[in-house]
Amino acid sequence: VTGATRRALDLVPGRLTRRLPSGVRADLRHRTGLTVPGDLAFAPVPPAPAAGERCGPPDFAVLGAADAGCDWWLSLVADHPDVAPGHRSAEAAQFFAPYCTEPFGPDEIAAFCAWFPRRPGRIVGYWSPDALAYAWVVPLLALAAPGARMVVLVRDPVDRLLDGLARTADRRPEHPGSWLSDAVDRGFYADQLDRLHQVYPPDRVLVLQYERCVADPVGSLTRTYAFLGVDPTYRARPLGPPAAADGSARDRLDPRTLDRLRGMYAADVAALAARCPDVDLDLWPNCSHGR
Amino acid sequence: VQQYEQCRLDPVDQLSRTYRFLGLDPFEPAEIDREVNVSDGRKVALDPAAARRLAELYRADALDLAALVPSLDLSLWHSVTGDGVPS
Repeated sequence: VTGATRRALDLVPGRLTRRLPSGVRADLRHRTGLTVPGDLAFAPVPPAPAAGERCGPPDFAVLGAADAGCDWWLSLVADHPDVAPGHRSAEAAQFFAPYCTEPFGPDEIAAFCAWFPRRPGRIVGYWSPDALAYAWVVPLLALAAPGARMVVLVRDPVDRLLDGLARTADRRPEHPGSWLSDAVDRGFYADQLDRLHQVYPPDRVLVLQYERCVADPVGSLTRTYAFLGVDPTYRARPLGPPAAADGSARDRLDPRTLDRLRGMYAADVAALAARCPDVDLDLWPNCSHGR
Repeated sequence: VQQYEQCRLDPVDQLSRTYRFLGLDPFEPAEIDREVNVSDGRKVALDPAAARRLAELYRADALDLAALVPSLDLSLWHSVTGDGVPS
């Protein structure tokens, strides 16, 4: 299928394609390469491993929050010569999403592991901006990769919310409440961390602050490499900031709305700081206000 | 806080609670047993292992809720008690 054909199919309104039987939709997606991660009717297949590679559970995961730089961070981690690049595709990131109410056993675990080829002596990581937000995903990840180490990025929840809403504005559904609820809930990090700690003990979880990673990428990357057990002194390239929004949306917000948002997150931010003494709330101006 | 399952089991008693809470006199609607917004779709058929995973996912929160709301009867929530959840 040519790129032009794919682009043309992309323009077909969703209300028309949704009328097709699910099997036909799945076949169409397979043939065209169009993907709808999370749709169980579509079973993405990873590329076959290259010669000398073997597949298995990922050795680590870089988990959300969304709009907190986890894709950027994994790209830096994967620069390391002892880290395999892996497949940072939406299909792999969304692998667990459909299994909330579906069977998840050895076949599904094997299918997940097929996304993680690596040569002997290298480690490989999973990436997902959604795994922490979707309550059912972390227990499934623990079934598939029980020995993995978890790297979690958190960001000032108000800045994260505003940038997330701006990024997903074109996906705003007919029911804006569910769109807003999803965006708001992703900023309650302490609850998400509690769920993660139920299956991965704290010594297997490294919580990084996005703002500190931006301000001191070398120091934060050194911590990450050491946590993952690879040479922490390695430097592959100049470490620039992520191509992310700058948080200026906050400056355009009505002050009383901003105060409401700060109040909404205050208790969770305090709980996060209590669990993670490394989290420096002075880096989160929305949350250090009034402390 | 009222529990859906208790309301279904004893709507007269539970509605009395609501009226008392709202400062209203006792009253029994003529059509108290009339069903509203009846589901017409089939429920998702859960795989037993998925049912256990979901039960585990919600259990701690349900116990927290029961501590906050003593009138909550957790024996009515089979996923919390384990009754009806395949082992």
